[in-house]
Amino acid sequence: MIFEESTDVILKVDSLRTYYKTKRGSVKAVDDVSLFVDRAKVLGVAGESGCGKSTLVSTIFRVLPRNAQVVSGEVKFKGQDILSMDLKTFRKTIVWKDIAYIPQASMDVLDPVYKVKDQMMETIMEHEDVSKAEAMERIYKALESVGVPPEKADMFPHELSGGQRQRVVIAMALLLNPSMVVSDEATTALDVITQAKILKMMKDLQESRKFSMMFVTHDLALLANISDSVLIMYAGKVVEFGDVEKIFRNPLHPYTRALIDAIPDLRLRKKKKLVSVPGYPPDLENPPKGCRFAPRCPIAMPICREKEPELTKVEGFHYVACHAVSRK
Amino acid sequence: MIETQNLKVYFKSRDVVVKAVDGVNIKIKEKEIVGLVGESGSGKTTLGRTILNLQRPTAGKVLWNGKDVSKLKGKEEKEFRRQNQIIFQNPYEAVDIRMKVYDIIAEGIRVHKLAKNEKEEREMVMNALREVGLTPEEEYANSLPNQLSGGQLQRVAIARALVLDPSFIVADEPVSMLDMSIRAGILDIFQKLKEEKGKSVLMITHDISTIGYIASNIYVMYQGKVIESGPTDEVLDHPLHPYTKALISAVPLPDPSGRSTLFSTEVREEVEPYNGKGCRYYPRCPFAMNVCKEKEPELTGESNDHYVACFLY
Amino acid sequence: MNKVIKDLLSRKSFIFSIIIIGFFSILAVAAPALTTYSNPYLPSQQYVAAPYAVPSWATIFPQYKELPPDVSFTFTKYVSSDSSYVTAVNASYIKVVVPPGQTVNVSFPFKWNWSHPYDVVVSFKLLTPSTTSFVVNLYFNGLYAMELCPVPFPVEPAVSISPGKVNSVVFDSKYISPANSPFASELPLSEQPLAAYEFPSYALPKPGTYNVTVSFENTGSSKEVFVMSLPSYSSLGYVYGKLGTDDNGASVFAEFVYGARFDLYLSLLASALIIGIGLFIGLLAGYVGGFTDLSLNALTDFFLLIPGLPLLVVLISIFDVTGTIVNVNKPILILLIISLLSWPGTAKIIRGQTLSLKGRTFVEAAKALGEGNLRILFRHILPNLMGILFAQLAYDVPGVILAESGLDFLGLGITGFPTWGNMLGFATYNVSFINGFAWWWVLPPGIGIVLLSTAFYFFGSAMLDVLSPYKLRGE
Repeated sequence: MIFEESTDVILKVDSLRTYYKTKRGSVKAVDDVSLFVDRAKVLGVAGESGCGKSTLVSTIFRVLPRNAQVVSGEVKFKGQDILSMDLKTFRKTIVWKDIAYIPQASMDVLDPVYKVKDQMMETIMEHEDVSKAEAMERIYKALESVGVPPEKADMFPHELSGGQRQRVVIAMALLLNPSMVVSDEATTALDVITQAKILKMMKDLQESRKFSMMFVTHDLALLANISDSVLIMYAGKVVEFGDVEKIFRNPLHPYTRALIDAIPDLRLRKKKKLVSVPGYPPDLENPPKGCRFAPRCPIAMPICREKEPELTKVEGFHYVACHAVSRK
Repeated sequence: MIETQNLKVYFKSRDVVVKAVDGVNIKIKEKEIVGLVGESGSGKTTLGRTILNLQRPTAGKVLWNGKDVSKLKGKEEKEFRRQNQIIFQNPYEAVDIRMKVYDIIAEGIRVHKLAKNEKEEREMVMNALREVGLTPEEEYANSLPNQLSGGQLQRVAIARALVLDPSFIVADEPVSMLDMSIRAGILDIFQKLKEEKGKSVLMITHDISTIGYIASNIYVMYQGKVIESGPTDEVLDHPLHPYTKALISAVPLPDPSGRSTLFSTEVREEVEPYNGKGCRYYPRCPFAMNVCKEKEPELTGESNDHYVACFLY
Repeated sequence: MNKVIKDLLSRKSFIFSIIIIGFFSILAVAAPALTTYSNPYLPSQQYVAAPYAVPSWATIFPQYKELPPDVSFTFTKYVSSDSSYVTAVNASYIKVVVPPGQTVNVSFPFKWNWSHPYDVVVSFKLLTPSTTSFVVNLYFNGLYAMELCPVPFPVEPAVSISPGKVNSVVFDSKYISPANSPFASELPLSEQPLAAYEFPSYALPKPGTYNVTVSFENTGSSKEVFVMSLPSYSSLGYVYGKLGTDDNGASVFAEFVYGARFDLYLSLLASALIIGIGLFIGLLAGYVGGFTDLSLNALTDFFLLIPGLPLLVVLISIFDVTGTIVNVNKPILILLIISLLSWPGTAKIIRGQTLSLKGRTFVEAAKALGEGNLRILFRHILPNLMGILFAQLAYDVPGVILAESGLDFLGLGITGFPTWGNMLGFATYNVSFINGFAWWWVLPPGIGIVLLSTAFYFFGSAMLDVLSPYKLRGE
């Protein structure tokens, strides 16, 4: 679909469908997802476990498991269709160099038998033809920019704290000065204080280096703090997409509203009651007919169980897929 | 009802002694929800396990209605087990996934011989399932754990504890593994238990924002020590310890205009390792003074049951 | 339960293992129906064909095409020089009248389609006149095979025959010597000892029509009347049954089938014993912990470090010697010794698994519920060990088969009846270029051991995967 609000697009996903084949049929993990990320902007993608946000990221980086398949749609990065590109060229010229990935820095992201600097060195050497000294200098600079003391470059991953590991992973992603990074739950396993510090650092880096970012998380509250636009996914579908202010000030989809109401807020704890959405996410092998949120929706109408709502523009940069909204 | 007295739990691995819990005094009264907040490694889970006598203390004791829980024997020990239950963080790990939901819940009834016959047992199980909101209960009773989602399974774990009609429950991060949209539902169960059944709960969590909604008292732990405690409103609205302040400011708010608060969290990078004698927080504390490096601060009362261990006060 | 079976059947390796194990189990169970020889190592059950006879299906290979099978028949046709002297009494007897001073030959022709057999046996009943003035000669294809004289001690190589009685005449090439056969005595001296082996190749060298001739010579002055049955012919061939024969001409198929029966039986019993000991020790060490763990671990390590096979050899030898005093059943002895030496691995694995299960949250939850140790063991730990137990049972089987086969191979184990191990042992001792390396004798037990071991391994792996939910749940 066409988003008029996009002024300087860097990544565009159009009607993407990625299904997993299983013995009983197919799991529609990503089902007709469209989005865009502009240059030097941050898109937040939020959704709960099983909503398809990780599959979306895997599709963009073309690291889907064998039983997954892109059924239709395209992903355009800087105008190039990266899904139909030769995989080798894609890995050599685009991944890391132009679009980098920041995973959750669990123990297995960094190879435990190599020192931090060796792993970073490999990333540089594989993509660029520079001297070792030059590469080392860049490594120290990169570590400094994420607040890791340079002596840690000589350490092994297990000698670092969780926060430092995450910083190293971020430094690695930014080594080759990509124009876009995708962060997948990068701060999830960290303590709140460390999380806040790393978020601040990421935001500062993003603003000073002007790269685009796709920030994927299950914690909607984080997005209010760092993103320019927000995309809410539910059961493989985009339910709401728009400017961050619009999403938080005027959430239109009942699911988005529920998610926001479920966030504990220290200031409002006496006034606002935490709300939980009744029921559980649907089985994506047999998604319910009509709107996938209908079985849990407090304002579901008969049409919601019949017809799937389409993502439609409300006003300004604000799209929502809900019958209750489009009727207004 | 439950009280710890200078409780210490040390773990020894080779030459290193890890002081998981180091001289902690906490008190849980009847019909109250007490929050225990701390980041990973603060010793909060160990404290919870020690209170339930699942871990032997190195020193100090846990008193249950005045009795030392590590010295309970026979009938009394069984009664202690029945009256004090625990909910774990990871519901997938906490149940034996070979057993049907019905058997998981009935396990406690059978151990304590609470039902006279099968019919009564069945009724108790079904009641517990209804109580935690798993309806239709017949359907859930017959399912296997791997057919349930994390939220449903956590409810099963709660039902398993509730079926014994305990008076005190340790809830160890009961919602941190669950999706946002279903957390409130689980927290509601604990709220209701307190209000309608007069049960006490020790809610262990790393998330200070959630605890504000349900706890009446809060203990903040840092590296094995309680560094601040008091009534929830006191602690959250007027935090004293720099660590508590940082914890509170680090909570992301769902408000795009609130970006400043999240990013104003004041914590230093740990420049020097802890020297073993001063305040445990001084390496990260932006207000660290010379005295902080030399001596450990004691937990002292400030006002209205509000205690803090910091030389600033 | 249904799900478990479905899960198992979706694995190719499991299906393979089931087919192999099923195949050998059927062999083992149906052994008495499959072969008439219950113990081919008994002399009475040997020489069912020539030693090193090839399997009958192997005749599709050109080098075995000409080899004869076991042949036996009774002659029906006869030819004589003068038909007036020879008349049929009934379907199986003929009467021969020999005038004085004359000789009457009766020939029995037959068609032979192969190269020479292992031996040649011709037998018939002969009623002789009550005089002593006659000689009966047996020619096999012109070879002077036997001379029968009606005197108690005839001049060798003639053989005595009772006059006036029904004599059973048997010519068996296996037993010919210069003392009983003119054929042997006519050979050069150096070849005489080999006469028994060489006779068949002289007599029936290649396909063709041959005859057995009985020659009646009347040396007296009045006519003599002989009555003889139509002779029967039999010879052991170089082709036999499904798997040929061993060095004693015993059926390899029978050995293989009974070997499978014994090996399966022993290995399952031993594995059960190993699991029993291992489970007890492992569970105790892992669950109780502390000093119990320490001491049991030391014990396990001690047994683990004993070099198994040498000790096995020594123990067996000791018991073998004392066995003459204290009568111990050898299979039971082997079973016990193998089990006692093999449990440490299993115990270690079970201890480790118990240790890890003990630290799991659901066990802690059970403790928090007030469950006692025994209840936790039987309701939570043991059921979760099921996968490992089945897998260990299956993994131990190949170990036991190999250990037992090793012993038998070395001749230290069972020797009185066939097992795969001593099949291999005897075969290795006997095979050579001359018998074409007796592949039909070596390969079946070899392949059997390999297949069965692999199958049990696959079976164990599949069980482990399917029955260990905590391993799989990482998905």
